[in-house]
Amino acid sequence: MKIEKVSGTGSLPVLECSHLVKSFASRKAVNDISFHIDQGECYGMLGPNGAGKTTTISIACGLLQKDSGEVKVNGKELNHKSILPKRDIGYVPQDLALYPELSASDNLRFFGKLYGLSGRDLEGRINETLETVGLIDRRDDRIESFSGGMKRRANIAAGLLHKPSLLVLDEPTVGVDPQSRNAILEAVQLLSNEGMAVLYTTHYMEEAERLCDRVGIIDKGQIVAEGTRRELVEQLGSLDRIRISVSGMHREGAEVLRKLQGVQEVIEIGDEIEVLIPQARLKLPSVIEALIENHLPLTSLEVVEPNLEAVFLALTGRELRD
Amino acid sequence: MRSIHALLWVGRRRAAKDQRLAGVAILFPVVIMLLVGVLFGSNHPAPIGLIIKSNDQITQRLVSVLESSNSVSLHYYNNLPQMQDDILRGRVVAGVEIPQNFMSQVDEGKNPSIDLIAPAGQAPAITARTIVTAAVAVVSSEWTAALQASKKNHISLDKALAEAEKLTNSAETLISKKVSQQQSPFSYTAPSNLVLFVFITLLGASSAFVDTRKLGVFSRILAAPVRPISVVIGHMLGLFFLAIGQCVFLVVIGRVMLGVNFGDPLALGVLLVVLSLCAAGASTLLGTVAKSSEQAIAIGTVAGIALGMLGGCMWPTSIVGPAMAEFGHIAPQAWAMDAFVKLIYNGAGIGQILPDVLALLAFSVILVVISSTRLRHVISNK
Repeated sequence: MKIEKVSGTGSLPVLECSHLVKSFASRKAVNDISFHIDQGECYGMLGPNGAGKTTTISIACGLLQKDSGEVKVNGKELNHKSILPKRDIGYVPQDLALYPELSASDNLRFFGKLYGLSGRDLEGRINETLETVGLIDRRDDRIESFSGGMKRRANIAAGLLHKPSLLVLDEPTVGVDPQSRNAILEAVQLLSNEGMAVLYTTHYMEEAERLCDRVGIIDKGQIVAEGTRRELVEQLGSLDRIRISVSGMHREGAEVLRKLQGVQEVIEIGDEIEVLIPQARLKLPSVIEALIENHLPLTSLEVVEPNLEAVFLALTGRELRD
Repeated sequence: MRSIHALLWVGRRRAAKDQRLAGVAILFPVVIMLLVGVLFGSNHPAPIGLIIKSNDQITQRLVSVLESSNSVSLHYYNNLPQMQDDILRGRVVAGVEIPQNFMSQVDEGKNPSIDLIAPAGQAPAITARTIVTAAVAVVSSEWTAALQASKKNHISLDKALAEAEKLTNSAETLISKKVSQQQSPFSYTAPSNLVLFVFITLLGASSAFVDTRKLGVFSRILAAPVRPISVVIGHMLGLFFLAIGQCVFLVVIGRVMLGVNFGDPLALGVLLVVLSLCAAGASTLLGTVAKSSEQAIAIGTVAGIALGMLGGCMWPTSIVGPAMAEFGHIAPQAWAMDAFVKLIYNGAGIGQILPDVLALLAFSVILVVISSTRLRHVISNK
């Protein structure tokens, strides 16, 4: 569930990428990609492995030289030689880019020093950041003693330490247990709600749906669709589905529901009824009311909205995990 | 500066946590230094084998000078194979064959040469060489001086020789005393293990660099407001300080515990700085070419030992024949050992070791330039 944003200034985007192109030998890894992220916005880059997500964010973080295009961070142009705009970026790479033999706090101390933090300010930020990712009680333990999920959270902490205005996370939940994944997603959600712009790449559709205000679907180095989840689904023209169980009376239930306004189709699947209807959540009261009026015993009800997986499949002809 | 300081800080922290490093950098060299020193070094007179092929006056004089030395004890042999066998078995530390034409060489005003056979280089063998070389110099000087005095002053050669011997007896005693007083049994093993292990440690440390690279830490560092050149400088300075720290530690151990006189402190300091720079460059180069930390350790250990062998860390290059000794100088270790031998055995200063230091510096510059270029390339391309 999204919480209300703190602010959105409406001024310059925090990150603005225009017409990025990057080739490796004859293969175009990034082919004319453009997008922007505003303050407090979480932008998801959704695509399968090898789609060009990591190359795009490597360019966006000034790590990789682009063939053409432009990257601006808070209005300042960024390229692989830039120094100052990098202060505004917190980069969380896909690799566990920490020293395993050092403690979490020593790792953060090192990265803090790179960003010019020192003394009490640095120590304070280390504690705050470890608190954010839920590792404060393990601050002095070696990274190599952490579980996979804890390592990932420490990895995120290193990107947050200097309070960047843009947090770039490259598939931060790959290979993570469900508990840690949830902790990571909650932390990212919190940061976004506090006003941090977030660029989040993933090939997990559920994560993009849960976290992101807008999603860019990337495939073969190009953004093939972009927008809010709703906008993307509407592009596809798919309808929401309501799955209903009325014990032993599904035939009667189907008849009643077919007569409801807005219902496009009613399908009987075993003991269940599936109703295809636009904006299903808004229509729920009238569906329930109709069933009750006709004395049909409602035992379960589920709204199934068309998801990004379906959108991706429709746009690319491939599954996200292909 | 900020990022260089941070990189040095993290390098120190990592080194402090690395138990392997403590073993390779500190424990192993000290143990091997002690072991080799105790086994092969000694303050007792070095037993040397002697084959005499002539019974002329000058040969007899050379033998008497050698016999009078406190630093060597003579064992006489009739044939070379037997003496070589005893050298191999460690019964004598070196063998000397005084040739039949020894006297004629001196008579002709040539710089006389005698054959010296020494096994894998240990301090006693080097002491023996020093004593024998000094004795030959003393005896040939006496003879030349006596010949000239006899002609000039119209006195008999025997009388002139007796006068010359009186003059040189004190010099001969001084040589023996000087050699026996200055040379610790660890005088060769201490610097040779220092050189050997500085390279092995630093080449081994390249595995940590490979790990860092593989973990993607460099990408994250470069995502910070840090220039690639700062990463290169910070990384290499960290290795340099590790090497110099190890050098200083081993020199202190050698001086305080093993009684090794490393000679002129300024020259020693310059040598250690250049040696450390060279090892840091070699380590960085290996770190940028190795595909895995295991590969870095394997290559580092083999290269460190092989180059150490070539460079005289296992035995002096002087005993392997001129061609091989020359060839050994493809290894920077050889130049470092040459400089150490000059400092320790010849009491050399910065001027005398300058050619060795410059050669080592040339190695350092080449290694640092190539490795920093590669490092910059590697970190900028993940």
